[in-house]
This record gives sequence, C-alpha cells and structure tokens, in this order.
Amino acid sequence: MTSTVVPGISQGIAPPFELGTVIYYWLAGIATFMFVGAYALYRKLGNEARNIALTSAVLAILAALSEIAVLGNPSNMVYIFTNPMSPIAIDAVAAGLFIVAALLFALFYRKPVAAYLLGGVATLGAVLWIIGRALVFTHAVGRPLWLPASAVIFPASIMLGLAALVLYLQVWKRTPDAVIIHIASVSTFITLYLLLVLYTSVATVAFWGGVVAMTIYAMAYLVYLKKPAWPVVLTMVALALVAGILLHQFIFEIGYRAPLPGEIYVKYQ
Amino acid sequence: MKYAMLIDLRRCIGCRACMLACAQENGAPLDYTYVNAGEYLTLWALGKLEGYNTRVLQVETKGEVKYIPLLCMHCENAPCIAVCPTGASYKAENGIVKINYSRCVGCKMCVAACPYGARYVRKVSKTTAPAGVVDKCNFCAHRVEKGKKPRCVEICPTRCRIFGDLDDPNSDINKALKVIDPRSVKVLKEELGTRPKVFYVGL
Repeated sequence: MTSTVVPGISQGIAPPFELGTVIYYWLAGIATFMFVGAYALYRKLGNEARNIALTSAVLAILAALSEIAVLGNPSNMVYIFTNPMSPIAIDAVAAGLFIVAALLFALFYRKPVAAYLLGGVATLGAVLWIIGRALVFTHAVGRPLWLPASAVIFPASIMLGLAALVLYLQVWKRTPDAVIIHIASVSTFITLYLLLVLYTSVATVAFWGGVVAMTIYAMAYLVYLKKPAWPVVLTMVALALVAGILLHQFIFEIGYRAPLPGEIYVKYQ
Repeated sequence: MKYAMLIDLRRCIGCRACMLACAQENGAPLDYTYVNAGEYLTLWALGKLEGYNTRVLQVETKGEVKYIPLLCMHCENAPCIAVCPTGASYKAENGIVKINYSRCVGCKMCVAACPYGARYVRKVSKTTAPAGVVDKCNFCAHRVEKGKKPRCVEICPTRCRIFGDLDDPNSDINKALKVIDPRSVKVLKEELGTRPKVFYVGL
C-alpha cells in the first residue's frame, strides 16, 4: 500500500482561531515573556520587577480564564489530567507553575536567592507553557514541528512579551538600554515577517501580534526617544513592509503554497 | 475483533446517499455537503468548514472527476486519542475509535490532531451528545454492536463501501480483499504512521 495525500484534508485547526483562543495565546505570550524579560533585568529593575511579576500573573490568569471560556464543555475540567501527556494537561500544569512562581517571586523579590530561584521556576513554566503544547502535540501526532499552528506561537510570544515589557518600562519612565530596544525591535521585524509569510495558519495571531508589537515599538520610539530616531524607525518599518511583501510574493512564485482568498499575488510575467 | 471499511472509489458515483443517511442516523451536520477539492481547501483554510461524520469529496484531476468519501479512519495509532486530556477519546475493543461524550471537555485538541479532518465540534445537541463536545463517525457503533452494518454501508446504492471484521476471515471486507489486487489498496496519509482502518481502492 502506498500513501496518497488528498488535497484539502485538514492538517490542524484552521485559522482564524476562535476569539477566546487568540486572546489566550495573546495574553499568555505577553504575560510569560514580559516576566522573563523582567527576570533577566531583575537586578536593574528592583521594585519594577515585582510589579511586572504581579502584572504577568494577572495576565496569565486572564489568559487561562479565556481558554476555559472557549471550552465546549468546561464542566468536564475535572477529568483534565486523565491523560497527563495531553498538550492541554501540560498547558494547565505549566500555566499553574508559572502563575504560582511569578506570584511568589513578587512576594520574595527582596531576597535575591529566593527571587532567582522562583524566577527560574517561573521562566521554566513560561517556556513550557508556550512551547510545551506545540512540542507535545508534535510528538503525539508524529508530524513535523512546523505544521501545528501553535508551534510558531513561541517566537511570537517572545516578541509580544518583550514589546509589552518595553512599553511598560517606557510608560513608567524606566527606559532600558537603547541597545536592548534596538535588538528587540530588529528581531521583531525579521521574525514577524517570516512567521507571517511562511506560516499562514497562524497569520491571524502572528500578523496582528506583529502589528501591535510594531505599533508599540513605534510609539516607544516616537514618544520617548530623541527626534533623530524618527527617520530610522520609519525607514525600518518601510523596509520591513517591502521585504515582507516581496517574500510573500516569492513564496507564491516558487509554489511553496497557493495564495488564499484575500491574499494578493501579482504573478510575474 | 478489528472493524474496518474498504471503499471502492471506482464504484462511487458521488450521490451523497451515505451523507444523508449518516445525518439521519447520527444527527451529523450537513452544511457544505458537496464541495470539490479546491472549494474544500478554501473553506478549510478560512476555518468555515463545518464538521461532518462522512463527506464525499469531489476531486478533478486532468478532466477526470473522482469522488472520495471521507470519514473517521479509526486509526490503529490514533493521534486524537494521544492528545485527549480527559480520556474521552478511546479505542474500543472492536477497534472503533469512540468518544465518551460525558467526559469530553471540548478543548478541540483532537480536532487539531486528526490529519483527516474527521472531527468537529457539535453545534447542536443530540440525544447522546450535548452541544460543545467533539463528534465524529463511530462506524455506527450502536448498529454494529447489534450485528448490523453502518448506515452508510447499508444505504450505498453501488455497494462501494464494504465493512467488516478484519479478524474474521468470512467477513465481507476480507472476502473483498481476497479478490482485489493488494497494490491497489491504499490508505490516506500512510506516511504519518496512523495506520488507518479505512482502505481505498482506486485512489
């Protein structure tokens, strides 16, 4: 018997995701990597690290509530750990680990040893939460990593979380080093377009995540940085947009995938 | 006991009788009932494809029209079971992949895991399953366990669906497999290692 691939058979949940799931990924991404960023800058941030940890924990709780809201039959949550290796069970454990550790971090932030330990546990929980589902899912279904939509949520979450951290610090007048902002923004632009172009299945999340992340960065630059930064920001945005559009067209041109309804493809003659 | 289905595509005329019979028997949705491959892909990509227990896919290649009935493949190595957090999805002793509706939390992990798009979330409740839980073809287990055939098999006017127990040498499916060239018997997406129990002839 040989295999045959019939076109159109599902490779996963199709976009656009339900609103609750989008909000879940969105808030979870912001919460986790905002905390991880703050943890990395723990010594520098002092009291702000505590505030960010509390904010992250609240956002994570809201994310979890959002996910519960989209469950078709939430009353059966009592059975959620029947299969502990299910991505959903991993999610629940990792989210719980992150929330508890982040709250404890906020409680013991004045004691460096405890803070580093708890921050490490929360970071582990954060990474597990965001990437665990994708990895377990990939393992369970025996498909390449890039097929499940959730696999690419990880880089999107890093970007969103860092963007939120930068915004938070900017708003509270605790501007981090300009180098950090530059590295974060450049990586954001590059990664966002790769996500957008190559992984249409998460276009909804990645694209709008990218739009907001870029807006956040642009606001941070335009409002808080010196005026000479303006041309640099605008040039970067323009270049990123052009590069993204060209890459998009190139993907269609080489036949990597066909354009979906609503996607513009100008065929090269 | 290992139930399986053989679908002879050379006989299928795309009449949809199986879909209607299934909907009647199992309360399955019938939206977007008759689509070609391109339309199917578009609807799927847009997330507008409604669920189904069985569906007849119309594929046109090089001017030739082919009808491919799709349903749950009742995989030996079912990814939907591996990802189910509550144990609602399970494999019965007779090889049928079933759903315990009273345990399903509606997380949709199995919907994402199934490479055949066989699962969907019920929007309307039926006697045994409330709205919000995941549903799919169960080879009409309620009939099969009484010695009857699945409704789609019974209704098919061209007898393109053949059902039976692979462990029973006298079953319809084993009799059919004996007279069919093994090289012409295929499964969908064999490379994924799911070991489907729905076989196709004429793909």
